[in-house]
Amino acid sequence: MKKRKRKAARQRKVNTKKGKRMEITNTDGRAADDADRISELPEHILHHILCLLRWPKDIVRTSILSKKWKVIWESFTSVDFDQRRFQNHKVGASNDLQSPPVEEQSASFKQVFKESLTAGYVDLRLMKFILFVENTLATRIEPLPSIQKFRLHVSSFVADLMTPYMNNWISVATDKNVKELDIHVKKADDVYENVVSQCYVLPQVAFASRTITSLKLHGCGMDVSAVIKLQNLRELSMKAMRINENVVHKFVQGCPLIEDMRLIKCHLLKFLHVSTLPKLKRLEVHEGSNLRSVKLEAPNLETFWFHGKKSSRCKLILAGCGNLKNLMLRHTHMADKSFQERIAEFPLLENLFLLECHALRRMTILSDKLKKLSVVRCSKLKEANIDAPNLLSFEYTGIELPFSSMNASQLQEVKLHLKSQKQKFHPLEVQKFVQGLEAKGFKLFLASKQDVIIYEEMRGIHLLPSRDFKIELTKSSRVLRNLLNSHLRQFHPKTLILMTSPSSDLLAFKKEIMMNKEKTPSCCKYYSKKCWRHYLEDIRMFEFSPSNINPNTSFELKWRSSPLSLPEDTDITGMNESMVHRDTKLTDIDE
Amino acid sequence: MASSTTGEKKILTLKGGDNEEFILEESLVLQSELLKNMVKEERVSSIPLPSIKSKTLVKIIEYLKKHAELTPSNKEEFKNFEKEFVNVVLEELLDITVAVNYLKINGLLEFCCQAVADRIKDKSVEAVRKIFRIESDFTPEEESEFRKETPEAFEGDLDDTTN
Repeated sequence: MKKRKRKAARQRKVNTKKGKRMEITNTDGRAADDADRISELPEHILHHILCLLRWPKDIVRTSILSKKWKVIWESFTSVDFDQRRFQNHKVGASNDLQSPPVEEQSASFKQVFKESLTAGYVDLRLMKFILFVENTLATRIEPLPSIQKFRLHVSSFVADLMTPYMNNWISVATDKNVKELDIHVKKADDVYENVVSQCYVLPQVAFASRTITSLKLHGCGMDVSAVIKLQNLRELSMKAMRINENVVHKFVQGCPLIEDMRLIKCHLLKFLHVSTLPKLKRLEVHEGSNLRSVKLEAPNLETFWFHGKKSSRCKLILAGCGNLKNLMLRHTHMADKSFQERIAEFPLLENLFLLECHALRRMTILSDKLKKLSVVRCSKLKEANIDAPNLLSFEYTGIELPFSSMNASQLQEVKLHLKSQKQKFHPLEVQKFVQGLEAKGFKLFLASKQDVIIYEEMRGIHLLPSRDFKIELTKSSRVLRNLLNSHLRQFHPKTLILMTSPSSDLLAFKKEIMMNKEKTPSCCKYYSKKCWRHYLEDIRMFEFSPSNINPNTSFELKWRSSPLSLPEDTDITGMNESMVHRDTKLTDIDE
Repeated sequence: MASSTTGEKKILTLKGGDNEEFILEESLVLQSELLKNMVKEERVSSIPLPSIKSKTLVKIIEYLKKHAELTPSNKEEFKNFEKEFVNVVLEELLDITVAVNYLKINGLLEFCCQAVADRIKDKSVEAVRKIFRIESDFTPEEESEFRKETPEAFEGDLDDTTN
């Protein structure tokens, strides 16, 4: 009620001002001018405005104006201290470095210098980094009511010198109710062997915060007696951490809201048993070399990645994860039987990625939910039967094709990469497989390092024996162009053959390639790495039409070893000579 | 031909978004880092500024003139002028702020930002949304969540008149 009254009063007030202000307060006659203008201001200006608000309540209030303002607020209250930025000599050049005033600098500088001497590690850049963090925390962070993110990347950790500082920095962050904490520590890798042997042990304050929702730790250790209670933690990532199963158990017990957990290269870990995280949606375990068993009961788990070490004989027990949708396994010792049992436990599986499962010989996949299947370098796989009527994407890398039956009528993208050191493949097998995909509307991209052939229609396909096949089928011409571009960039192939359909999207591309002959490419001006166009030295084009309908084209490409940078006067007349029109067959050219 | 001259003073033409032309002494625009660079490096005599409305440009030129006349004795007067300068409809203030940021007139930018900040100060979320016509795209659930988490953010004056 009160509000309405105010509004009426406002309306009156406005009306008396000669209609000049009518345009902004008149809610009926909304003009184009009526847009939300302030949100269009560049981010740095909005940050500056936030700075000028000074009063914490006013600042925090902007975060709930709208989603856009929430983002602005979060970037305003995020700090990222990365020691690597201090490794070059231009300290102070970066615009977020505010050097403290000279007199203050000298006093605190002397202090840090003294401490460095005591620790037996004197490095000017490290000292400057410490001073920078100290100064920023005091001047920029201190006035803020709270901060969103605190990231600290220390690349030369020296225990005696850094530990007190880092403990203090982390406690400043937790005092400011930080939501995302990201601590990355790498020990100094130089001659000071004796001073750098210890790892950074995280302080207790990092594990007793009510506000932390995301915790990312890299290369630190933890006190065995640490008490872990992070009741709002949603995301936990621990990489190269010196932790054992007890610590993980403490996290599982003390952080009931974890949704996303990633354990990477935590080599001290022997077991991973998770059964009390009802919200867990994603779990990743990568390369824990001593891991013996993983046991999961997570009813809401949707994604599980297990990337085992080559030698690892880790046991996986995933019985209580019936809602799993994405499964990625690299497990060199998983046999047929345990694989089939695994798969049967996940009726909702949509995405399956098998990498280097070298013990797998036979597999059968029956699923009407599966959308994406990737089988990469499972070297012993001899027979595979796939019945997945809703499969959209399929990828296979290996020596030969083991698929004896494949029912996947909805496929949109197929990638096959066949590679063998010894013999050439029999292309008929591949040809049969490709044609068996009921491939209406597919375009075929066939490449080896030397040659590229593109068929825009799946008729009259003729494959030649090769040691290395990369075959991709796609229905999207955009994907096709990207494939071609990236292959040209990566391999500089010698021939390119386009078997185009009458309504080809590649005709424009053809013109574009020929244009390269005429002038220096104008792209990549601001990149130090130039795209393939800059390496192209010469192009010879042949046209041939076996069916007299489709304008098929073959290019011979010659490449330079280094990119062309200066504009040159290219001889345009030379182009006509090299454009030899011939009525010939594909095999004549592709000898 | 470099900039045209009348006597000793170099003359420069600024072209606003609606093609209106403003002729002024070159020395005036040197307060703008952007124009200063254009004048010094490219020796132009006419600068098109299509993204800036003429109305906004008039205001900015007015400021530049006043600022150029600033002496220790009329400091007080200039301060009053500055206050009056940002006492405009919000639209206009934002237009000026964007233009000043583009032209890199640092002193004035600081002042404009402060003026914008002053209009947010002490106001409730609802009032700020109304003043700046920011439409909340949060769901009612999210909104009530905020109220629970940060009740203090929902305090403040509900008055959404801007001055």
